[in-house]
Amino acid sequence: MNLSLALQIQNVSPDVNLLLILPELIVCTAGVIVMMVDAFARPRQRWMTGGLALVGLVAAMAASFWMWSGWAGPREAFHGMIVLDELRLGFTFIALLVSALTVLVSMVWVEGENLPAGEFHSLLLFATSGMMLMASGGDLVIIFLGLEILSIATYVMAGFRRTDLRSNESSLKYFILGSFSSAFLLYGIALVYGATATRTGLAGTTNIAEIANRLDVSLYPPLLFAGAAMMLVGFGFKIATAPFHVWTPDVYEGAPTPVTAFMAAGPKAAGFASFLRVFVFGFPFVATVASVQGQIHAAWLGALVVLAIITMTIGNVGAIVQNNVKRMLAYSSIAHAGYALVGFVAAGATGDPVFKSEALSSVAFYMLTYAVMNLGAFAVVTLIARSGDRRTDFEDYNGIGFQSPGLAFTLSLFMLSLLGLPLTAGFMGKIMVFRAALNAGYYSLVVIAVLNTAISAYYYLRLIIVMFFRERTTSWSAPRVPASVIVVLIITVLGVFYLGLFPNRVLDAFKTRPPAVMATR
Amino acid sequence: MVLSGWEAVFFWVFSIAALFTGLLMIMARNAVHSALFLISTLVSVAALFVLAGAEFVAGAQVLVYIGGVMVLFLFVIMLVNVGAEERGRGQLFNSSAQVTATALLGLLLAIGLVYAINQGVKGLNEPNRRSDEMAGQRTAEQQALPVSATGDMKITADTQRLGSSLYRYASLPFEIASLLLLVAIVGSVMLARTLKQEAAADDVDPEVLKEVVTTPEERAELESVSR
Repeated sequence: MNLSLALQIQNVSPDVNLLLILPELIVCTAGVIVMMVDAFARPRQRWMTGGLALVGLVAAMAASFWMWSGWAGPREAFHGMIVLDELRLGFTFIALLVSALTVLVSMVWVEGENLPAGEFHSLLLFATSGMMLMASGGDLVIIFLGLEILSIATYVMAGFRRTDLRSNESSLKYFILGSFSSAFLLYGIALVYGATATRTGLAGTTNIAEIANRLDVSLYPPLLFAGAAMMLVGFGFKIATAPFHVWTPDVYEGAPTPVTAFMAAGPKAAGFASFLRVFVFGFPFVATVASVQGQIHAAWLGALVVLAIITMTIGNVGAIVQNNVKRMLAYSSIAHAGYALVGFVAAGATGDPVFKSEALSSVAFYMLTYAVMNLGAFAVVTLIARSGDRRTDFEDYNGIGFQSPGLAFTLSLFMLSLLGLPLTAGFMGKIMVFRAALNAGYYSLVVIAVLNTAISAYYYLRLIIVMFFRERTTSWSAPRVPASVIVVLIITVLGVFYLGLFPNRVLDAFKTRPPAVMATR
Repeated sequence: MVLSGWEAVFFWVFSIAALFTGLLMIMARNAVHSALFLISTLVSVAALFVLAGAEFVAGAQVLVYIGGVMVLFLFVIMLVNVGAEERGRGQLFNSSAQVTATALLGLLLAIGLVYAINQGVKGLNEPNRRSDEMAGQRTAEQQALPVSATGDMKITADTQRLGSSLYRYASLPFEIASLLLLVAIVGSVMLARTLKQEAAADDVDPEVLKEVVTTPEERAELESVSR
């Protein structure tokens, strides 16, 4: 760093724009308020914390809709650490929706299990703010901090049932492997920071847009490759792509079911948001293949194609042999990460702003559809599992179809949507992702993805068959469905049909609109 | 740099103190004692930093490590149950394989340290153009800095740069880091508190806890509360 730059930094203004982080601020404040209320409330009033959390989430959603519809101010603040574009808003919406549905699912459950409601809801809100920061961060530092906030809160939530050994195992496994992968990510960030020091004497940078500018004038190009590879591993862990998926089934099985619902939908989407931003915008497409930027781009894109294929295949093949519904859904979540990676590859492979924005919105849309149907499915699984998560095997679902038809039919609907049956959200999500990949010329990748979808029919339909065509040997008493869970089921069922039938409005909202030049840089 | 006068005295006092408190830290049986010895080690090292002319590093060491990290350590130690470790007397230095491995690794570490210091000294003795340039630049920066009222104290350029970039350029991540710490504290308290503490807090009825308790130790613990 030369003298003039040093002096320049000393006089730099902090560039504060609180409106630009309004949704994040609302969610954090709600988290603190929930904690305070819980500390002073009487035991009988603990249910209030869930309601307060919901209010905070809805307020944050309103704030983000306001930013979506009519934002005239600057589109980045804090020296580019926070950016505002459709990618951020889309994933912020997903994070808030997942969190709100999780609160609704867990409100009654948390009381029934005698777990501390206040801590649960405040941790959930903090985790949500972490996810939102991951989506809005234009700087690797913000993304890392957001990821850590999210991860630490999730480790604790996974181990929330402290007297249950499976929950302890899940939490510890997630903690050890998660911190391991965070270390990978951090090391990658440090290497990229070092590598982006330029020959003209500028110090390194962690700003994503600036990294893209500096790729070709990097002082140490080999470090860039190493750093990008390590970040790929770090993000790969978080979104559970094979071969970094091994933790997923155990963690998802052991964690309390509402937490599993949250983990499968929320952190995965947030991971995709940062993953997309870092790689598609930080190491972008360039026409000259021989340059450093071209080589890096080709390298990560090639790696992602391989990852997508392995992830889809391992996820689907692994799901076939499972006898536990939560494990089956865990493998299915791995497979879905693979399908979303197909759209990711398409977004990375093109320099054309229109195609790129289409591909990016297809990934966001895919994560939204996955979040809706997955949360719905887990809500039903929570009800059937009862207290202590004791009934989660396929056998426990034997023949409940005609005894609790409401639950069985909704669960079947979510299974069909996860499979990708026409008219449902899952179908539309897959179509959008595959179309983006076809536009980018990845025909064989799409063929493999479609074949994988065919494999997945086996285990999704198996659950339906078990529910409707098996004899029940043990007695069955229909679970009481609390009102808040009914709300969740209504929202998710309507969501599955709405996204499956009228996807255009949502897709348009997720697309980069012309004035947002920043996102296409 | 040749040590002379009081500098030499203080250097030897603090370095020997650092070494001995470090040793005592790993040999102490009580975790709280270990933490206290670690604090003495850190203070001695901070004093060494002052001697080396790195006042800022010394200050940061005292504030961050001793003030923040160690207090958190003590909290954690007092929060979790460490009685089991204390009771297990005579477990230290009793396996010959362990001692051999430790000695070997220590030897390797010492060799590496000596080698690294040698290389560093060699590099320092070979003046090159780049470092000369940087030195020139640094003096220019030093001269550009404001001089305090008494005229004898200057903050180093690095300190000022660190402060600026932390509180001006990176003010947002700085604030977010506090949120991260809050989450970590809530989480660790949540997971580490014992059933006894949980029952003592007004929110849980000991009778309810009895239903979820599975191991005999926990049951005994609970009974001691309800009595």
